[in-house]
Amino acid sequence: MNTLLLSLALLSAQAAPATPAPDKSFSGLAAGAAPRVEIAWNRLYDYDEIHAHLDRLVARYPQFLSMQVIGHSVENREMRVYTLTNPATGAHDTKPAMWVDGNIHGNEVQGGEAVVYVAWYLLENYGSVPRVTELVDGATFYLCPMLNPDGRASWFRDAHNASSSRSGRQPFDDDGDGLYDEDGPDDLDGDGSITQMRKYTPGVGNLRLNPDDPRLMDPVPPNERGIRGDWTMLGSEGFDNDGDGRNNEDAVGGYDMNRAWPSGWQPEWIQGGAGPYPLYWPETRCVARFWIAHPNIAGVQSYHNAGGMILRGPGYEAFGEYPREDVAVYDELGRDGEAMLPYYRYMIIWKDLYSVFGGSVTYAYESLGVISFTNELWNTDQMFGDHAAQNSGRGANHKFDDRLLMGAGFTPWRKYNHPLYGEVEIGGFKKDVGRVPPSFLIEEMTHRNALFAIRHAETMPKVAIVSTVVSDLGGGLRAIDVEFRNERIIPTRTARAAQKGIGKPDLFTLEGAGVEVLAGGFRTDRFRPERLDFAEREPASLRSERGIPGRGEVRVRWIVRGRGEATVRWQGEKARTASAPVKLP
Amino acid sequence: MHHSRAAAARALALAALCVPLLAQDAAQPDAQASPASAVQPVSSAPHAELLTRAKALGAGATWIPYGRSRQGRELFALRIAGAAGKADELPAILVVANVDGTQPWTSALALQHAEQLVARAAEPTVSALLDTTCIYVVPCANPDAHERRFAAVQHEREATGTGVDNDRDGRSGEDPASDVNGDGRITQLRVRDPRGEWIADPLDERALVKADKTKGERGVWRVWTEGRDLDRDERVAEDEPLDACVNRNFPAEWKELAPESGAFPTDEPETLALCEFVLQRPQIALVVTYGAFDNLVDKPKSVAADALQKRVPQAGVVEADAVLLAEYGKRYAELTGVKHKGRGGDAGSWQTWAYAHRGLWSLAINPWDIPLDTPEKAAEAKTEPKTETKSEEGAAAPAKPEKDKKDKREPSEDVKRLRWIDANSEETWRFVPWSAFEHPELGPCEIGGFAPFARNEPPAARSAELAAAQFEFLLTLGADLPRVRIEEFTAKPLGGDLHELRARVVNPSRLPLQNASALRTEAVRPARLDLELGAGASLVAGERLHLIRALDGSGGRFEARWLVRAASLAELRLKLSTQHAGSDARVAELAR
Repeated sequence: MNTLLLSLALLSAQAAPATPAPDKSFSGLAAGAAPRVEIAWNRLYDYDEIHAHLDRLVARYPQFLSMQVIGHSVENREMRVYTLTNPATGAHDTKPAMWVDGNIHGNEVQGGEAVVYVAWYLLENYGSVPRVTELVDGATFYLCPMLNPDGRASWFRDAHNASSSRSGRQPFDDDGDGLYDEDGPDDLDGDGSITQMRKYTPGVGNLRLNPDDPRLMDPVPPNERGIRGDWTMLGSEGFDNDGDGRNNEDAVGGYDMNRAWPSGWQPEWIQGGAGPYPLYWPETRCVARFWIAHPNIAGVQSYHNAGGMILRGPGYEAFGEYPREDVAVYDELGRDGEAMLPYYRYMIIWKDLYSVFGGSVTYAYESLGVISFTNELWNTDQMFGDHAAQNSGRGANHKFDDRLLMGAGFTPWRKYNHPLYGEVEIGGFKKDVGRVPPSFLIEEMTHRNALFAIRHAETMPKVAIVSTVVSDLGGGLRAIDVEFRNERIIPTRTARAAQKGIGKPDLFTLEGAGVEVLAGGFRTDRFRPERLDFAEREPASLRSERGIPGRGEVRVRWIVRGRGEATVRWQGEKARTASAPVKLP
Repeated sequence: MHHSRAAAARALALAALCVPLLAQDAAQPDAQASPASAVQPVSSAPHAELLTRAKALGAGATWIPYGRSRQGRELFALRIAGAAGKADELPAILVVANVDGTQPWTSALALQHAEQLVARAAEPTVSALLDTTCIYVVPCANPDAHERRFAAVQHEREATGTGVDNDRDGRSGEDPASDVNGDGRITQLRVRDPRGEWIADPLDERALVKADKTKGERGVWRVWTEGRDLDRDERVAEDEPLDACVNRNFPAEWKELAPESGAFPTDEPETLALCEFVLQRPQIALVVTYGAFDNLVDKPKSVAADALQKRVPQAGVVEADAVLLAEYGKRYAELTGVKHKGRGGDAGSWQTWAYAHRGLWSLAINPWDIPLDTPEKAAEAKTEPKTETKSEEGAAAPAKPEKDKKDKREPSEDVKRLRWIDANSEETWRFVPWSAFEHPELGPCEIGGFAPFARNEPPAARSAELAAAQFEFLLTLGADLPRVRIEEFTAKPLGGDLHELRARVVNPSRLPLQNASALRTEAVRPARLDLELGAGASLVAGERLHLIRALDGSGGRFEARWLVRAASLAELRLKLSTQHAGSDARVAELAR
């Protein structure tokens, strides 16, 4: 008995979130004086560490955060989804849900930290920041920090450059020679990085050393005097492992899990990296199944790097354009994002970037009707901010590294005796330069991008019944006029979902024991109540493909006979049920 | 390609040979038909029986289970290869039947092919095939739909997977087809309704045809699949619980957001299993698919190899392949005499995926359909028995058709099918006469129409001959497959320890090493030509490894030369390895 009471006491102590003393916190500071769960946001974390942070958050906030394993990667790492909501105000699947993921490309690691930040920020501020409390009470977050855990683990563990380990780790025959992963880059100088090789080839190269900075090489333009450069670039560090005359042409993996998704999917020859069929890799298929099984998902963010972009589909030109009502939602959120994320641009994938067939966020929108963004985190314009103009060009990376990182990001060119090329020089920027911010800028990147996802979540639909009016039509007939309003930007059903019959139509019902519903329908005219789109059958249960527009309303009229208590109700997949009583005297 | 008329005689002889083998599936008398169903010849067999027969093939065929259907039925393949040569290294042909699931006879056909290959393995034509080609047979790719043929209530329906809310009323599967009149078959239901779009065909009132408003015809009937209106929405059988079709769930030309397509390509387990079966057997070079679709009788649409619309490839057979496919069509016509076109769309289909995404030769065959060439006189003059309801103008025909009025009208395909049914007394089961019925929700209606599987089950008496002809065609397919070899590999001493090596790789077969689809998809890996140097040799000039992607048929060749220094070696080896065209190795002696 005593142990039981003790355990209960401990549980209740754990369950109550301690609010920081208001006078110790600075207004606008996210977590008050000191967070309950300390996470250093100026660094990157490996696969185990990311999950360990989230597990600490689960341990500290078990009432709000829980974890489930939804699948396994090729190398058998867990694919985890952390669910964040306040179950006391409703089960997770009765609320609109925001899905946030990152790191589908193994080298695009900082999305993992951003996902953890979303959880940390909301949990730490629950109870002390009213909008956070409202959001955690009224919505659900499904958080999946690493869509490519094997790629991430390799990026940390193995020698890479900023762009490598994009793929997963399943063997893949890139060069069609019947061998798998037999010739990747090699860390010849053993410095833990895959950098570049150059060779001094006097008079017959195409590059020359930059006169101001010999770490850089400039192309030599064609000229009539026949002057050539003295240097030749040989490519990434490595040698011809399989003796086929090519270097580094078949590294581990070699596919792209963000080309695997089943909307607009095209095979490899049209879309490189797509694999033999959609959702071929287990990492992708388990996530697609989770999305399909959770139709309450009303927003998706998938963090990538780099370039400073807020991307939406279509991914390919042949799709056409998204319906204008949904484009308006995207435009509003996208422009907002440009303000929240300096140097990021809101862009359309195929038009402003390049063609992508089978991307994850275009699948989420086109097949599942969910407003979805991909942010590309970190833009090198952020190195010098407003001074980017005078500090741009190829020397900018060096200047930034020299002035602000004490040169730590660059491996100086050093001689090496290559088995094929003879004497070469190996050097270049390390893997955490260029696509990932330097440590002192990680927290800002993380916070701004997390808050963009949180902003997105705050725009998920929320339905309220703002008025119910009973009027007497004579002869025992009454009319009940109900106004259902969605106060948020995102409609209860996107135009895409309405057009394609995705998911369940919204349901508007009236029921009361003593009430007989004779007719009912959606009003098309605020001032002329007889102008009704009235239902052919089941008038007490009206269905709508279009739902309630963003920041809009739907007016319903029911014509009834009877008296007593009744309830009007709105039900839909992507917002909490709204209901109100109606009294018929 | 051209076979003499002796082919016809040979087909008959083969048919005679086949009769005892087919006794068990062709000669089941009507009396053995299940009592609950209407009279039908049963040469098709339930999945469990196919399993038993397949397993009984013994050592002649390797049993390969490759997955489970949605309802847990075993998906299986058989591998038949000759004793000479290892099966894994031989080029392979894959025969797949009944991906649609509504063609159970084709499953029996494919299984019989396997049985024939095993039983007659010693015969010259069969052993010539099996010694050089590995044959995979998947008799029943869609067992769940296949089993509907043997259910107490017969229902010809392809869908076996994920259901959607077809009528958008917030519920899924609340209004399926059902056997309303208890006759053991799901047929059609017609109701007199001013909203109806159908009229009885003036040439044969059993058939229905859409009213042509431009001719002043007014619709009389509303037509549904037999069922109830359980959700009282004035539509019948409009919301089945299952919608996804295995043969619409493949990734090529997959139709997004359509009920038959499934949630995403390869979501249906039968589809995924068949994809994986092929991916794990890269030696497969050609597939034969028995089902509804046919690309041998009718020329399929052809496209240029680079035909892209805004980067999206156009559907169709690449031109160079279409030429060879047409040759197959000619051979097929000569050996089988099949003239009827196939049916059904190609979108999301197995046969399209195999060709367009995997670069395999893909022959699609619909082996039998109700003939459309029965002359009118051969049919007994048939009128509809008077129904309970009063005839109205334009709905019921008088006792003799008015020849002068109707002569100009081209009979519809349904009318032509009815003529064949009328001319063959054993085949009356294929059309259920319209008969009055009091429907629980709709009131007076009529139930009837073509019976389930009417177009998919050949007459029992023809079964043996049809099967023999298809088998004959199958036997011809192995010889064409690309089999590349090193035709020459020689060394010439140049003095010192320097040698000049020459090699020629040839494709003597009819088919190219890779077809045009394989070349553009790069789904088939190129052939590797490896010069093995070893410790005592060094390459002075030339490529140690050649990757050969394109090699024409009928003598396409690739030549290579090397200069090699080899002080103490007596010979050098050249290896050729391919994905599905065999392998070869030659040795060149280094003379001093």
